[in-house]
Amino acid sequence: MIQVLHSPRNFLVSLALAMCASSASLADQGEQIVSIDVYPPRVQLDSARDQQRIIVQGLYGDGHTDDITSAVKVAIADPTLASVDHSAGHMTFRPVADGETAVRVTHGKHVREIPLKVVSATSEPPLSFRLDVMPVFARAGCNMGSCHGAARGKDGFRLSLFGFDPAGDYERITREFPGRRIDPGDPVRSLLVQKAIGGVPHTGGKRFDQESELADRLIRWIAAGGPDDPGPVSELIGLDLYPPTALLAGKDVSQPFVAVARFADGTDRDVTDLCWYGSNNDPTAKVSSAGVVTSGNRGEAFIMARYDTITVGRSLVVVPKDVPFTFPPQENATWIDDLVNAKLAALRIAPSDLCDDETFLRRVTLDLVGLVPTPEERAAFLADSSADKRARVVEELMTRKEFVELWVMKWAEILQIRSKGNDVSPKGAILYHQWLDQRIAANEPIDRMVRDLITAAGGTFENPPSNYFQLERDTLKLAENVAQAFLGMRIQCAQCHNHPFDRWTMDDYYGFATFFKQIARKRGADPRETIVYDSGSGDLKHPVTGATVTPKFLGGEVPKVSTNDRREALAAWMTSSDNPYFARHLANIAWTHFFGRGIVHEPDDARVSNPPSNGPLLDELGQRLASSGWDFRGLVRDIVTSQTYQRSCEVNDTNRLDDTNFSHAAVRRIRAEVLLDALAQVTDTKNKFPGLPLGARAVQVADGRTTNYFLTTFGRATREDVCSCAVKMDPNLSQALHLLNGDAANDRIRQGGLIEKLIKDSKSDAEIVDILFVRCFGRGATEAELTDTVATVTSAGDRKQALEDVFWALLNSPEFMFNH
Amino acid sequence: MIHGMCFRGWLGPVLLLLLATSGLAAEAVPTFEDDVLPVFREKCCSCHNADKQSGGLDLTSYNRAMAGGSSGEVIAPGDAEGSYLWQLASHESEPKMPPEADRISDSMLAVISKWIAAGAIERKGGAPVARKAAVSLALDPKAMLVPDGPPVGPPRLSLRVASHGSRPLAITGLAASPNGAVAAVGGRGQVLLYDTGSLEFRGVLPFPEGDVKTLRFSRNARLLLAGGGVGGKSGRVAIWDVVTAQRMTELGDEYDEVLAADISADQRVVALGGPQKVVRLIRSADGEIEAEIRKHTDWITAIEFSPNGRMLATGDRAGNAFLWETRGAREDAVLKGHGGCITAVSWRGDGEVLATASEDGKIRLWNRRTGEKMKEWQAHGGGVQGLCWLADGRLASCGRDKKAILWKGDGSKEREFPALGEIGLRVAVTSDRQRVLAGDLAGTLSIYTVDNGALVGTPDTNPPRLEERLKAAQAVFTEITAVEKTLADKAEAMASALQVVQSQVDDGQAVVEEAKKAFATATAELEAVQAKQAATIAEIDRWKAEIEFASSQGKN
Repeated sequence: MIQVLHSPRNFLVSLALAMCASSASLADQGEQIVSIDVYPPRVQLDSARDQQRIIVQGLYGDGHTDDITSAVKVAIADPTLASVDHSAGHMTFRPVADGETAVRVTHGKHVREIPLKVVSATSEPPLSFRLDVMPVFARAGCNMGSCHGAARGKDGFRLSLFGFDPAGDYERITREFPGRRIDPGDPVRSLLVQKAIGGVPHTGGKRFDQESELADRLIRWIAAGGPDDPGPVSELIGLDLYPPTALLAGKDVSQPFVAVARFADGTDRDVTDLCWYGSNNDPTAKVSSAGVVTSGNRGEAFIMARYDTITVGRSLVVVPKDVPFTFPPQENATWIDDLVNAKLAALRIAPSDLCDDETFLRRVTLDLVGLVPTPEERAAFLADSSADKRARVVEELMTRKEFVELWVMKWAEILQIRSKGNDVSPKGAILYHQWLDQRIAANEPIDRMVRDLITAAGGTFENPPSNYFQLERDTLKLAENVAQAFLGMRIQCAQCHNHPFDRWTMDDYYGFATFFKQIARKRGADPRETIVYDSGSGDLKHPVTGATVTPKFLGGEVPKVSTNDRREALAAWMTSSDNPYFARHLANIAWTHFFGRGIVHEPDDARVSNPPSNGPLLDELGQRLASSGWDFRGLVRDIVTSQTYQRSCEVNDTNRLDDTNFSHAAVRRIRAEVLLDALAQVTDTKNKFPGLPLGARAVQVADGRTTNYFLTTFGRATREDVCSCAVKMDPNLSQALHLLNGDAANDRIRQGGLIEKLIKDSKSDAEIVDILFVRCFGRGATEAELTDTVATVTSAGDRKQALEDVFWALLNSPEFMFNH
Repeated sequence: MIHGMCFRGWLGPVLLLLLATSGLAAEAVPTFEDDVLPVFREKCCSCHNADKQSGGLDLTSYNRAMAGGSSGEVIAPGDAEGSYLWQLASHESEPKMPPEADRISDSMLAVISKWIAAGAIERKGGAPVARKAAVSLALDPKAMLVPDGPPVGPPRLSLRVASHGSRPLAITGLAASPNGAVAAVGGRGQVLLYDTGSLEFRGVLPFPEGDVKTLRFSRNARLLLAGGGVGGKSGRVAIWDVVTAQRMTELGDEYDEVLAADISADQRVVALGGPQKVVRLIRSADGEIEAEIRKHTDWITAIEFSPNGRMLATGDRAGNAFLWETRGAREDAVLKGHGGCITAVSWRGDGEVLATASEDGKIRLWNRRTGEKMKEWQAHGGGVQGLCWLADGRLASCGRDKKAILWKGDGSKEREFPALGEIGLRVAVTSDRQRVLAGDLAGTLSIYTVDNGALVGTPDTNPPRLEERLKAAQAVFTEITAVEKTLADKAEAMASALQVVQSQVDDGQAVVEEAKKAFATATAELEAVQAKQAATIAEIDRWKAEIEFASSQGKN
């Protein structure tokens, strides 16, 4: 068990399995510690003023953990090398003499030993501006965007945002306004210190005490004359946050975290007091500025720590204390279900039951082909009694042309297909759309499609994907779009400063963007056509250092590229099955379509501080997508045939508050195009869009600029922005008013003449009402609905008018507008 | 007809002459369209075009080029070397253009230089642009307002310092008396006075309000004004009578330190400002605020009244500088074109010319009557910090390049003083024009001679407390006394040793005398005996001869 504790993923899986298997027998051991663990796994002290705290975590029989640092006994094998201060819940080691020994931690019968190494025990290196002083500003919040980190600074003093420019900060502090900010002759009276400790009025208030470690560092550095670093300082290469995971039982349980920064020269440093901490789920787990988490409601939280340019996070689960829980047995679970259920079991959440056939058919038809099931399809499905009928209907739906059209629309959003002023003519947009349509219809592997797109060159008519480079001609924005659309990452922040909540630095940003720097354009023979080609020269300049930037993959290596194959190299890297982002991102896009929420949410905002709600699931989805030869339909099939997809939206006591772990179906508003098509379908009316024949579906519209009032109101993406948030799914008042009062429902009911036809067919009121329910909701009316509705119709004077009103009411009901 | 003939006959040669001259000019003088634009197109226009307008400059058309960029006009017709464009293109100043590339060819530079010098003509046949009415920088020495009467100096002052840090304070307050050998240097909670002749520390004027950020002598040298305070908290101005060294008054009630202040020549009003972005004119008599200037958009960093006190010049951190009428604080002129914080404003002694110093590295001279720029030049790379006029119309400045420089009245460099150890922050000139004082970020006060530029000295700007001085002197005394005692003992021992030797020498002398005497006696005796001996030998010889003679007589 101790071994797997180091990997949160295995930990959760095995824990869940253990709990599924024999929760009853383990319950007795719930109060018993079965093992202990010590973090960090080694102590290294590198100078006279270095120190390192450690924490001890106990694992109980029922899987929950507790901080037992203050309850253990500690001993240093050779006490002449280091001292330990074990008080007030802390255990802090300080150097005495050089050497190597071990730390022995004992709790009852459990014993752990970790190595302790002391080097340079007597050397007191001078304080470094970058290593010792800059972290003070980050920790105290001085260089936040709302304070001195703002582009123009605050109250006349500017620091670089989150410290991306230490050289500039040094200049501003020591020399910009000579004599104002620091006074080495009387360091405590320096304005920099006085403002921070509240000695003089400060808009940002008091940031720390004069007696604090932070103030002490500042004062000592100023007293030394405020020296700049004599040369490059050792580079920060990693940040370790301990414990790797925790499962707290009950409210108000504390778990301290320890952060250790690792440097390129082999030294490390306890930066627990210098990190910024955050939680993505405060109701479940709050984290204090000292890095101590306090538990709250049941759920999972992601605890983040940021030091310098690095942000890391650890997942932490809170479960109710002393509530018996048995994960319900699951039959016919697919690999997707296993991974989802493992997570649910760890959270002690029971999933909802499967939905009924009518709900399933409506849900899957809307999701796969963008239509509501016809009464005939419904009848056939209900009549079918075979066990695999849900799988078969999925197969059948995936062969329809509407399936292709729906995914072409999704991809057209990602590729932002639209006409655009003089850059992309309507003809260009249509050719681009056709190119996409052919690829999706042929089920061409996605990696090949994306590769063709990223490397596209030539005329925008002759080779339509080259339109991609016309839709965004700015090098930096193009790079941002590619990262967001195909890798699911928003790197925009790093254009001007290191990304505060992710790993991306300005170096990463410009290294990536310079792949696109050599794209050039010239006019084609047809004035509407542009020829895209690679000029073979030109590089971006780093805005801080002014140095020429060499191409570097995001988070990857620096490739060897000659002049003309930059985009080739980039596309090969992006679409490689080894790429950690591409496959996962595509899988997540598909997942989001079917669940209304990504495993990473928003799907194009993957970052360190926005982790997947189920990492193992996302990894597996991505891996299977890549190893299947990028078979997108296979991925869709696996998702739709899983029990997770087929769950009811009815909740139980344990999953009521869960909206991130897919324990029940989400009620999703139907997106604009599909809703308009469904309206036309149920009312027997036809839509007309520019450039398309009468009766075409909104899903088929090629050009993102084509739109109408209904689509705009219901939040169709204009495709001008790469963001997945461009598709607006939120209900709002104008949507409701448009359906209630506008021509959307009323006129269509008249135009379609459905009621007239049914009356002519001499159907009874009850028959007509039932037919309307089936058309709109994919289910028959219940007894009560039928009785009430028929009574209303009968009592009305004008029968046709009354039935039309019923139809109108159904179209305006949430059950029609939502997929559930 | 006759009339016409006459006319033609007269006109002909003139026309010919005109044609000839213009033809000659066209050949020799480059024009924008034919000669300069091709150079710009090849070397400059990829950045300085209508779309990019790097630095706000567009060189693709004549009018846009002449309009200049965000740093002001770049072409001064008739003055190639004074044109910013030429300075950068020729790599005379930073930033060198084109950036990160070799200098453009000499022939191209020559084209630009000739074109500007000939008046920046637009196209063939065009007229040269009139050189801006060059306001004469010439100076009428009689117009200079210089205090008269005997030199003004402080009485004997306490040398008790209010504070003593581990290092001196960066010198942001520095002033030299316009009539007398006194200099004032700002410190923590105090003003330090020095004799500019002997460099001696003369005494302390306490400033419990905080650090001193600005210092000024009144125009008649009678008053000393100090502004400063506690950063982020409070700011004030204090005024002393230099002759009595009595504090006369305190003015202002700012919520941050006073960064700049001055007192008018009639001593009626004090102007002060700081991070609150407001210049306040305060009556010295009763401390009432007479007027407030709220036009500045950033910290007030420079303030100086004109020599007769009727005008006020102010500058701020954003690079805005204005001229105001002192009465009513009415705006007189906006001094446009600074590319960075105004670090100093200084009036020439005749009140006709104002000099401004800026973080953009330049010194600019302004015509006080028109508010127009008369001259600007690159003075200190990285930024000019301190600037002041000499009473003879020369200028002294210092800046981020750690240099202190003496300029002639026209902006040409006369002398560069030995380098400062840190960023130069303030300069001052003694009333006898013999010495330039420069204070730097490390708190070092360097004093140079104007005539040969030699460093005279660097008086201690962080003088220790008197008790410490006494203690130090006592410690030295104890140390010296110990040494003295050892030396005295040693001397005594040697003296007695000498005495012993001397007495031995004396005794020996007596023996010698006796021996000498005995020797003399012995010698005399010897001589007497020898004489006797000789006489005896003679007697013997005689008697032998007598015997021989007698024998010979007997035979015969």
